[in-house]
Amino acid sequence: MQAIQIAEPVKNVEKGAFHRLLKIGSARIALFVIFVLCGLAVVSYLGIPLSPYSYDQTTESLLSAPSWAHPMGTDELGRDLFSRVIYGSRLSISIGFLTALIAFVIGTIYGAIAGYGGQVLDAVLMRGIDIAYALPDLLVMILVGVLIGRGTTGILIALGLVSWMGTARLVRAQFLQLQHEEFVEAARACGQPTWQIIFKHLLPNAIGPIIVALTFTVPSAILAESTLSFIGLGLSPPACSWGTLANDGFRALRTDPHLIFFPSLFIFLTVLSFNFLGDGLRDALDPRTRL
Amino acid sequence: MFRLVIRRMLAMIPVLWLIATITFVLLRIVPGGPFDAEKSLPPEVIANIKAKYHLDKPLTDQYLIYMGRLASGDLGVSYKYVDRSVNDILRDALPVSLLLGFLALTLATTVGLTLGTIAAVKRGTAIDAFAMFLSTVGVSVPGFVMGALFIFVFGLWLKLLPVALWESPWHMILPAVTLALSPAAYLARLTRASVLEVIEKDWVRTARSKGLPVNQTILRHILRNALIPVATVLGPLTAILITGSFVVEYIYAIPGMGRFFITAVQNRDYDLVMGTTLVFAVLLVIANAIVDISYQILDPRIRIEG
Repeated sequence: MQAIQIAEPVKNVEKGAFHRLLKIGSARIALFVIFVLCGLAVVSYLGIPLSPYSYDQTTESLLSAPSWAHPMGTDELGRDLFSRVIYGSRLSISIGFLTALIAFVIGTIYGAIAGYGGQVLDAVLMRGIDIAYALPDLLVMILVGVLIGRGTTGILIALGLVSWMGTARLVRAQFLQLQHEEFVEAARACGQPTWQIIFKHLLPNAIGPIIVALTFTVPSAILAESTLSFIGLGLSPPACSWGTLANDGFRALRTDPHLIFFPSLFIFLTVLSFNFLGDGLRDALDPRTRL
Repeated sequence: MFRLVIRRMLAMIPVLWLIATITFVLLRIVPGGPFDAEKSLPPEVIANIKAKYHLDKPLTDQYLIYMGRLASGDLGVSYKYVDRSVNDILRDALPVSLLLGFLALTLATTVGLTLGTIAAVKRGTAIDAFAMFLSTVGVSVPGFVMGALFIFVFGLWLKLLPVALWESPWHMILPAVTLALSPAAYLARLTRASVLEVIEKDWVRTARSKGLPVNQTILRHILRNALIPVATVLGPLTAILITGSFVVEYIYAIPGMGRFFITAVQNRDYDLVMGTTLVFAVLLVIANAIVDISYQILDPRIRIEG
């Protein structure tokens, strides 16, 4: 009976958080934009008439400006830029989410060990994070990219390597704080194994801030991938991400600015939306800034 | 104080050695080398070139040779920029990147501190909301998008500013602004949070109640205390600037460290990659050491035992 009474309010807090999130105007717009972008990426798998790789051989549709037939114009091979940008969103958005997933797994394990594994281990692991933090992300990614190659997997590994530290710090801080709470001590007194305490009691109570941190990981991963591809050290054609499209477009900036404008716009909108969503989530989950 | 500086400098050596070793191993264990592209060369010639640069020796020998030269300050030769030593290239490239970084840092600090302080003082108002909106936009625009936009608007459309190379002060405006954008946004958020924390303190209320004008209070009592957490991010800021310089030097064709690093990685120009990476590492270590030392100057309550 008592357990139910404790569990109930917790549920309400989380429900309330979502309501509070929807009350924040910028977060609502951000959610909508993200929903539309992800929707377009998913819909492109259903065989919608897009042709990112096929091209017309007729000369008049090479490098054409935006028109009804090609809403974003065409590139130097006559390929429809709208199709290519939508195809690019598949890769760019998946890379963003997958990086957040990697950051979640590595960060949680590392942070849990540091926060729950005793002071000596904690000190060593935290020093490791300090060093990893001090290195410029792009420098590490480029050097790692040399080692494991520049395919999608290589990029993901490189992104994962530079993205987990924030989550790890957060999980550690939460665990340090939570492990002296009464419900955790009670669980320990009942003889629950450590992994069960971590997954059943500590992690669920720390999940709010973790979600906020992961929401910020998605846009920084998208930014990093597109920057890397833009300077020619990330994905390269025929792989098609917003970064490679922007790289193609930059070379034609003088003559055909539409080629860089649309991929850039999509990167900007996506990153901006995720940043606003992250801000909104933080405000919604943090009781101190309750609206 | 003096002992602290010496100690920090000595602590740099093992860190740099570690970075040099990791980079060395990363570069060499990958199949392929700097002379792979020249397939037209007969194998004897390639063997000759490799022998000249000691690339035919076992890895451990190469490592010892490299470290030996490094200890005497010789960073090796570039395989692609013929007849130029890495020391030579860095001597030309480093001042360019340092100037670019310095300009961007000055700009970012000025704009970031101002925007953050205004937002905090006017918290909850439309001005605050607008300043924070600007800073979110600032961290959301990739450097290359901003760079391309600047090139298009100021270079190609208005024809006001040069868009490539590094020759006159006019050439420096667009790259410095592009590079400053994301650190400025980052600093604005940090300053706002930091000022908000200080603004509620007793000494601020005391200063106001004894009749000190608002501007004076902000300058003398709020900013001075709020700057401590801001000063500690010089390390991360340097990392942000180095990351940004890769992009900015690439789009504006600036002959700086970032550009040489990128082309060196593409060409597998071993010694040049090592050299640029080490210089970046030195810059970062110095920035972090300055932070540690400046703690003491900014806040005498913090004492690091020297």
